[in-house]
Amino acid sequence: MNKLMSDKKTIFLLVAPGFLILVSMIIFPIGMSIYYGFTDWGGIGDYNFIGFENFKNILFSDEIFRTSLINALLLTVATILIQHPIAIFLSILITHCGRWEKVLRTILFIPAIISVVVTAKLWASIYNPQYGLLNNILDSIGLSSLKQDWLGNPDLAIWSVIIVTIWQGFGYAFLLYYAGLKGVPDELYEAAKIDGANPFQLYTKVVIPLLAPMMRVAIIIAVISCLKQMEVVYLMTNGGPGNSTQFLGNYLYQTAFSYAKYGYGNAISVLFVIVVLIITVVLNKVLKRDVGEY
Amino acid sequence: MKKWILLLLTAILSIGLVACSDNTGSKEGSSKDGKKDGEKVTLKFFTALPDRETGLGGVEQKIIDSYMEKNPNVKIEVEALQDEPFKDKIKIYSSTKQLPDIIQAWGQSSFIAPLINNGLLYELNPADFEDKDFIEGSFDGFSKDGKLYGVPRNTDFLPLFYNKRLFEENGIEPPKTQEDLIAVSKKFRALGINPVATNGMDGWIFPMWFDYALQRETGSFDLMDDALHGDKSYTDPAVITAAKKMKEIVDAGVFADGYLTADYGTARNLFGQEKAAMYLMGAWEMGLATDENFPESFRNNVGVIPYPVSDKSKAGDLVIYQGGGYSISNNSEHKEEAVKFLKYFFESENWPKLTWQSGAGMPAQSFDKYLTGKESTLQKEMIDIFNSVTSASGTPILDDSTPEFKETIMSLHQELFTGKVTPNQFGEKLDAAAKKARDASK
Repeated sequence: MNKLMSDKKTIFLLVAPGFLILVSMIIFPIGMSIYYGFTDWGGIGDYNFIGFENFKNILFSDEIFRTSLINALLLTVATILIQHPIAIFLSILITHCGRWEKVLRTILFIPAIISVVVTAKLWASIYNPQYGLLNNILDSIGLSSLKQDWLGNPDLAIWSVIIVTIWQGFGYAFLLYYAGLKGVPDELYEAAKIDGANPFQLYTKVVIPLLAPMMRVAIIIAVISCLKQMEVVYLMTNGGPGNSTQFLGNYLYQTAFSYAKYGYGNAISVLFVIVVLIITVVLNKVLKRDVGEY
Repeated sequence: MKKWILLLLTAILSIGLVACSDNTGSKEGSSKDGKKDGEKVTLKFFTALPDRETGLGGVEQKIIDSYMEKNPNVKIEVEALQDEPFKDKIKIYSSTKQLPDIIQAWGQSSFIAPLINNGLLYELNPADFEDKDFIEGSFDGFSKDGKLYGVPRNTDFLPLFYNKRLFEENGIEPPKTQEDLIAVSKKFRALGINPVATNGMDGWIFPMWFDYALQRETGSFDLMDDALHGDKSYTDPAVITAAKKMKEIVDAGVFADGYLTADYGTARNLFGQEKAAMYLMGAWEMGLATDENFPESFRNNVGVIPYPVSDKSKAGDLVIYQGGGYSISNNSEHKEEAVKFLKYFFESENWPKLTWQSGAGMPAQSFDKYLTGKESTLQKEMIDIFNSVTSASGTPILDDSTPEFKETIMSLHQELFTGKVTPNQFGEKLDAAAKKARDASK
């Protein structure tokens, strides 16, 4: 058996099917996508090879690409600055809830298991200026002057969408931090208490620094999912009004399939991948900090 | 050396896999050919009417079924998808040269031009359809350089639906001019009723409305097309004034709250549930009067009027065009059979009669002789508008050019209404988009 497994032929034969699938389903399409990025293909018929023309246009004269990139970055920053502190705070709070702990953590995870379509339509109804919950609540507490067309006003729409994606991704962020907290050994709490740390010091000086590895994972996951954001926008506003809530994923879908500029869409996707790679590498470098063993 | 043998082996294996699937394909093909002697034919029919029970899709299916009954040697396989997925799939089919035998087509450049230019559609003989009473000019959208590539199915136009009960109970007269429209809307607003429901999120309704706004400004539909073709410009003062006018109408609160994020269903429901007094939508919504989902008081009171006029235009100046229809694909193996089916489909006993009498929509063929006298009031009012045509817009501006132009003009309207661009910038950007589209199609 050992001899069989160390035989190169066997290894090759066993790896081949998986490798073939990987090549034909992932590597080959990515290669095709890069190739089409250099053409002016419209999705039907012939195309010409136009070199870096698409990339030049996207980088230097495509306002919508810029808006989508800025929106994606805005969403990422907002997620990290708003969602994660709340997630950490709530996960700390919940560990002190005694017998309610299990129930509460289940409830907090619910947004994550609801289908995206449902979430998007649910929030679209909440935001609806006609019969929406949000405006009705404002009405009933006497704040009618604050009533808004939440998704129709280009200045507010992007924030309305950001809140939904934060809400939707909250469950996973929470779960990661909660698991991280559970992983901090009891001795450390005890040691800190014996040393005279008050609860505030306990968390800011001991526990949260120990959460750093978890934070790193959570932040990278959040960044990737924010940059990839497409479904919620597609379902709630489809990038509108007037491209004010456009995101890269949605924009490249629109260019390829609605604008019938397949080559251009592929070029966007290539740039998109590059942007995500750069951000991930930078994040990895920045967040690489050893907290020591525990 | 052994590595190479292995590599070869894997290669053979994978080719074998692919070849296997190929084999089955060619087998099917050969059996089809074999059956040709027995005149057995399978036609693939790809349509954008997924509801096969009611409405236009129901009528379509009924004719297909009756054709198969009369011609037992012909089998028609129907594939149906919603508009947008349909258009996506057409692209996939055409890039792999596997277009189904008969496809639904729209006689609008943004859809049909790429297919014609790449030789994917079969040229039809106009004489085949000469005796079918098609409305004058309805073949234009499906023709290029004097050759015909499709047959129109429906006539569409853009009127203004209104709820008579809401107007009467509040003592308000239906608007005749654009000024009336603003005044009427203000009255409804004061009563807490939404004036005009429309589906701004989808984006296509606004450029169609722009056709009206500009016509009401200049008195003709010509400027719109001339500017698109480069003979005139969208920076023309009339265009800017029309854009200002649209913005003014929007700012006056004519459209229901949240109109920019309302999709088709939301807008339709708002009107159908009597929460909005008017509804800016195509004539294909004739079925509103019979839609059981809406309260009876609505169904009995829904009416339709032409879009409000200005002093330069008449109510008969309509945004009217032939939208959907059918084309035959050039790679079809049974082109004659497909033509035969289309001829049967458009026979006066079939499509025009059945469509009209089911109240599903307006055929692109004259249907005067099928009036039963039992039409709903809505249908009758619709015919009155239809018969009053004094000038026609032809294909709405958004569908008259490239797909990119369509997307651009749709989002430009949203930007204009939300104040992101001024009417002047609107004209400039539109002109730039039109120029880009002209360059692309050269």
